[in-house]
Amino acid sequence: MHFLSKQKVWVFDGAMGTMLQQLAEFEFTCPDELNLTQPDVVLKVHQAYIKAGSDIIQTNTFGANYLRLKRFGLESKTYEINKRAVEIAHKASSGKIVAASIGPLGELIEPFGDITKEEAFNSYIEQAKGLDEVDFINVETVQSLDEAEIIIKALREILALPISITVTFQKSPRGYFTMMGESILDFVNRATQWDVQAIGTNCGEGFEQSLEIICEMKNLTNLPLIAKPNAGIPQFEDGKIVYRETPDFVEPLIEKFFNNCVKILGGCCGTTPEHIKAIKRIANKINFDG
Amino acid sequence: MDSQNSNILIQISDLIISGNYKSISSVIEEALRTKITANEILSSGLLKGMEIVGIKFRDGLIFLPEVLMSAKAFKEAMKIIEPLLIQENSSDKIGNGKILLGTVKGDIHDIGKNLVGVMLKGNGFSVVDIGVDASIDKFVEAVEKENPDIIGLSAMLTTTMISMQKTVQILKEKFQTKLIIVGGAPVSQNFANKIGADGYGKNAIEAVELCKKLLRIN
Repeated sequence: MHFLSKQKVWVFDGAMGTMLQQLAEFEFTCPDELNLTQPDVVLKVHQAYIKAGSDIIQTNTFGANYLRLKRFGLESKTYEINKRAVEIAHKASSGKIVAASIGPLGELIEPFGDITKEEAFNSYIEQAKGLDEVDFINVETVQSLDEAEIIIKALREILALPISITVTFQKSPRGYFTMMGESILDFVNRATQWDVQAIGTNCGEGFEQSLEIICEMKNLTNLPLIAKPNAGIPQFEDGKIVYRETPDFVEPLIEKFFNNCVKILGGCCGTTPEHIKAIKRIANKINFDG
Repeated sequence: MDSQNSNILIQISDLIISGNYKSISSVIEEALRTKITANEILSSGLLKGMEIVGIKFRDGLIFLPEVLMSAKAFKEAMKIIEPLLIQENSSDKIGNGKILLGTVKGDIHDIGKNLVGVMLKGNGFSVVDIGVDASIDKFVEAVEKENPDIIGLSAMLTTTMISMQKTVQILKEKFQTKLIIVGGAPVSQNFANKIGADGYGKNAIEAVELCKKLLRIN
């Protein structure tokens, strides 16, 4: 991630899953499968974000690890799904930075669940095989630092690519913690040992909480920070799912992210190209007006 | 109850709280030898312990790993006392009521749902779990077969919330009087109200409190 050494801020993309659902030509249960069955729809999402101003786009591979695909009977296509996703992103990117998205297993690893550490490791080895041609790997929506460590080990086993890690924290009466009870400080300490290129937070309850997490994190590390917040908690109105944090709501917060050490800002669930346009406007102001 | 009995029940509750699934069986056996009934072990030992686990989880003092270890200890203990409970209660219906749980169609996540199941069992409910990616038909069939007091729906993905809404709608049409509760990362009280669910739990503890409230327990 050499680009991070430049004195400027970068715009990530917005949500993939919620966009795919809007644009897909037919119903689907596994979003990652669309790389094979509806590649044009995935391409359209990337193009929409690039048009809105994303400097970095992310492959449609969040759930494309072996074990997660197995739950859809697609495990034999793990390599193909990842490989195609990278191709689609490059086709859309026209020279922009391409990151590979890696999400969690969605199941618990031993001793809390049935998945062994070895099975988890191998699941990500299979995924990583298809991701060799990206600029960096973004391990996101991390809810267990032990799981993240397994993912990083697997990635390093076969890829020589920069890695960033973004964690999902929940607000508890005692502050922010992962699902497994790990604090922001725990995360920063582990990330330092892992020697990753950037850290941050994604998903969660919205831009305001994400900013709170960032403000805590920046005091604990010198690493470049990434934020990809949700557009709030989804609501149900007139038969549709809507997100309350509109681009207008988010706009006044954007500068605060960049003022608090965030080098890469984008969006997670519910964010759209309109959110990215708002982020781009502020990023341009910072990058060009100083 | 004499003090020796209450000591051993406190010990059982502590083993639940600390999630000591290796030692709990022998202490349960010891309690049974001193003629403490399975009912007492359940209510004054196991459920007492799980109640404290619930409070600690709610207050952010412990997290998923600790709760899962407590659940494991609870399960070990229940292996021994479940057959005795059936004898003592001369009925196969133990506890507070029957809850049917499932993750809605299109969603394969079950960490949260399983935790709700564990906490419900730990609070004296019987639980039927129909798994993940459960179609509306699967829910309907299971409700007809099991006749639960409450149906609990889970969704983890923001993209499967519509699936939850449709499932609630059909279940309400088919079974007008059945209580339905919902939960999961993207779900909120507001969403629950709008789709016509009878309740929402922000976490597993709230789900238990909700079931008790809906069934007028306590």
